[in-house]
Amino acid sequence: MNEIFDKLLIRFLFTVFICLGLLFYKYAHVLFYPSQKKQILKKIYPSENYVDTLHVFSRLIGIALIFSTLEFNEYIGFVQSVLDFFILGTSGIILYLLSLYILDNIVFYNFEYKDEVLKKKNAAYGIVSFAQAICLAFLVRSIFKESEHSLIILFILWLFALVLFGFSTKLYPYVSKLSFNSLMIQKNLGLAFSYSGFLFGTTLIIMASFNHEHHDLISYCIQVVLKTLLGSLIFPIFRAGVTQVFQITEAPQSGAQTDTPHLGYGIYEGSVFLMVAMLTSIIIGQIHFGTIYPFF
Amino acid sequence: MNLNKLIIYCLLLLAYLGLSKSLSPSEFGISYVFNEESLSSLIRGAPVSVILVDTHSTGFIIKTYYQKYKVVYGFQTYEEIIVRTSRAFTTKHEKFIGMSIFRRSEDLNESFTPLPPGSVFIGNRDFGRWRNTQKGKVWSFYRAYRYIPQYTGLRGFNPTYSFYQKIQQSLRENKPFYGFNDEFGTEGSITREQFPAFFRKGRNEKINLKDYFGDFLKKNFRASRGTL
Repeated sequence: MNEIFDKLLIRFLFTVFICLGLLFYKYAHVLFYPSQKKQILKKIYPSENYVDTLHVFSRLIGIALIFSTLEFNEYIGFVQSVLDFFILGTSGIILYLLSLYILDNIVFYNFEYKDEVLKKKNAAYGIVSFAQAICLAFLVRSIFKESEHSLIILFILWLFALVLFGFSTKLYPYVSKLSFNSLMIQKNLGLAFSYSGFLFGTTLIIMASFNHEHHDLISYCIQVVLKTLLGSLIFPIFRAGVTQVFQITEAPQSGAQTDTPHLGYGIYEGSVFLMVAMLTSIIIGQIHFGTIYPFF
Repeated sequence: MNLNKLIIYCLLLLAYLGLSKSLSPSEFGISYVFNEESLSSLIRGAPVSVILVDTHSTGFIIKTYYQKYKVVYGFQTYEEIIVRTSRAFTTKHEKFIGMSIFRRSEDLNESFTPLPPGSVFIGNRDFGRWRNTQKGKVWSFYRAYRYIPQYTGLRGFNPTYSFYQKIQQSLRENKPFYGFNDEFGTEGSITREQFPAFFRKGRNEKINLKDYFGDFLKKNFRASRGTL
């Protein structure tokens, strides 16, 4: 019975630790958005500003996603497991928050959180911000798995993943006919769906690129670059295939006069980006070639 | 605009191919042997005998060919090397598994005629001598070089003087020699015994659809009944 209580206590302790992680985010939010200090520290009324709710809770979902990859193995020693859990958990949150901060400055370099979320209640900003937070959480989670509990490798891979992701966000004008800045100002939902699909798709491709065996870091990074490059070669083929098979006429201007201009086109683009990225990730991540070594 | 996209795509394709070629780990450390001269430049030292012990191809449409050699030196231990080869070179040597495809004598004479393994050492007075037996003259390596038959795959085989003479004749005529009873080469009994890796099951095994679907149904039927 004592053993059962002991295990339950450990689980409770870890639950408290994860809650502390969420508290950590609350104050980190103040650091990232100092002008909105009062906003996050006071009570949140989700129904008052759904865009802010989306914005805040996307980050909390992200933190939960990162924590979901951590493990506690009591059999390697209680203290060591606690330390491992604590160090990796804290590193994960810090890296995730840094990623959010950097990507916010890359993607929303023309927009202010205060203006778009608190004043204008820009739903497009909220949706893109949500997608970005979830994508970054998946990326950090993915490199967590690949780093195999090494903080140095984790840091290097995080930098590497962030560069790839940051660079890929800048490729949106090459794959979409929607203008990010002008439509974002207009709170266009079509753009939000399109860009979110693009971000999810990019994340899937980068995650697939990172997902392979590694023996040394340099050759691993080379393989990641090659796979990402391969992804950029396969992606347009799938997209052209879908467009041809379903006879899709890509004209973002049609429907521009409706209440929600470009919504249909944005949903189409977002869905196609996501679907094509999934198919691309099969090609780059799930086709394995043999080597000479089983034979020689 | 479409032309611009096409140009960018082509540049990406070239970048991918270039980076794959120059950075891919699978390209490192494997020499390319496309003809006899390139094999000669790859092998150092003398006397030396290069025995083709295995061959393999990867790829579905555009194949890459590999050969594995056992390089047996006169005065040091042997080494095994894997090289990438051309299709023509591989096809040319497909019947010569377990045979010496290149040798260099002490006086730096090189020859590429496919011969029984270690033939460069047979008849060389530095490595052994002819013994008179009931079967006639038989080659015997000195005690210091007793490892050579083991390395070359001649263990248990006693080269006779007529065997040696046939080797010399094949060298002059540049014709492959598989042994008097075809013991050497891909179909040879000695090759099969001394270089079993090439004949191991699983290599280029053709799939039997009947067996495949039979196994598939059997496994699924068992799994559905809760047994593995």
